[in-house]
Amino acid sequence: MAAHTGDFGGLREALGRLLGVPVEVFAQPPRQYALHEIPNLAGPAGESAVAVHVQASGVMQGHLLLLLPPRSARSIGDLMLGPGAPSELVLDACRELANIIGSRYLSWVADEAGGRATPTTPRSTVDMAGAVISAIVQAAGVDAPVQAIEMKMQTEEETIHATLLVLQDQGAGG
Amino acid sequence: MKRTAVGLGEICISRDPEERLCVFGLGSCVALYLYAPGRPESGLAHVVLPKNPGRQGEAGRYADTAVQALTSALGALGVPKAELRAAIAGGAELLGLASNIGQSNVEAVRESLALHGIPLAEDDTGGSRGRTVEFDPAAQRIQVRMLSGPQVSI
Repeated sequence: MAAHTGDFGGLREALGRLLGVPVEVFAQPPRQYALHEIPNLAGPAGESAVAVHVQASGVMQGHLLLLLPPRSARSIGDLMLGPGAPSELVLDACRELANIIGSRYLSWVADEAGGRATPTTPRSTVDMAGAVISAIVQAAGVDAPVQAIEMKMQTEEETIHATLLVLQDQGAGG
Repeated sequence: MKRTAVGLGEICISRDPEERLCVFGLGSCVALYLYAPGRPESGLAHVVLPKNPGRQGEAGRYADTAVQALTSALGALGVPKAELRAAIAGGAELLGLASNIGQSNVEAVRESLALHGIPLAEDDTGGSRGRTVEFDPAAQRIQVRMLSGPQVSI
C-alpha cells in the first residue's frame, strides 16, 4: 500500500464540515511496529486514552483503531458541542470523528485497490491505551502487520492529536 | 525499587528482591507470575494467545508453553517446581469484541498450571477493563490497578 498524506480521501474538507471550522490535517507516514512495541505506540501503555474501533470489510478486511489522548478528545467535544459537554456526548463526538477518518481512509484504500471497503458502526471506550491496542491486535491476529499513523488536526483554537492504527486481518492478504 | 515492564509475548525472570516485574495496560492478555514462597526468584510471562502452533523461541507468547518455559527458567536457578505458586491477572474482553480471547487465555493458563501441578494463589481475571499489574516481591502478591473515577471520564 502506498504512503499517503494527511488529506487521504478528502479528509480535511470532511473534518472542516464536521467541526464547523477550517482544519489542517497533518499525518506522519505509517510506521510498522514489532509485537513487543505495540502497547506503547500511542503513548505509555498504562495511560488513559479514548479509543474508537471500526471493523472493515471488502478490499480491506481488518480493523481501524483511533486513539485520542483525553485532552484531544475534550477538544473535539469543545469544537462540536461547546465547552463542558458531558463525557458521554464527547465520546459520541469522538465516534463521529473516527467514523469520518475511518470512512475516508477506507475510501482511499478502496480507490487504490479498485474495489469497495465498508466500515462497521464505531465502538468506543476510555481505557488504558495498551490494553485496547493489544486486544485489537489479538482480534486481527498477532502476526498481522500493525501500521500506526500519527495525526495532528489543527484549527485556529485547538490542536488535536490522534493515532490511527490500521490492522489487516491475518490471512486477509494485502 | 526497580520496575521492569514485560512486553507482549515476553518472559522475564528476576532474582532481585527489589525488582518489580510489571505489565502496563494489560487487556485480553494474561500476566502469569510464578514464584516460590520465601525465595527471591520469580518470573513473569505476558501471555497473548492460548495455544502455541509449534513455534520455537516464542514460548512466552502462548499459555500452553509459557508455564513450561517459566518453570524451566526458575528450575535452572534452583527453584524446585514443587514449591512454585502462580498468580494471574488480565483476560478482559474489551470493546465488545466477539473473539472471547481473554477468557480463552485465562482458561488455557489455568489448564496449563493444573497440568504442571502448580497451585494458583491469586487470580484477578475477566471483566471488561484494562489493568496495570505488578508483582511485589516482598509481599509476594500481585498489585492490580484499573482506571476509575476521573480517569475514565473525559
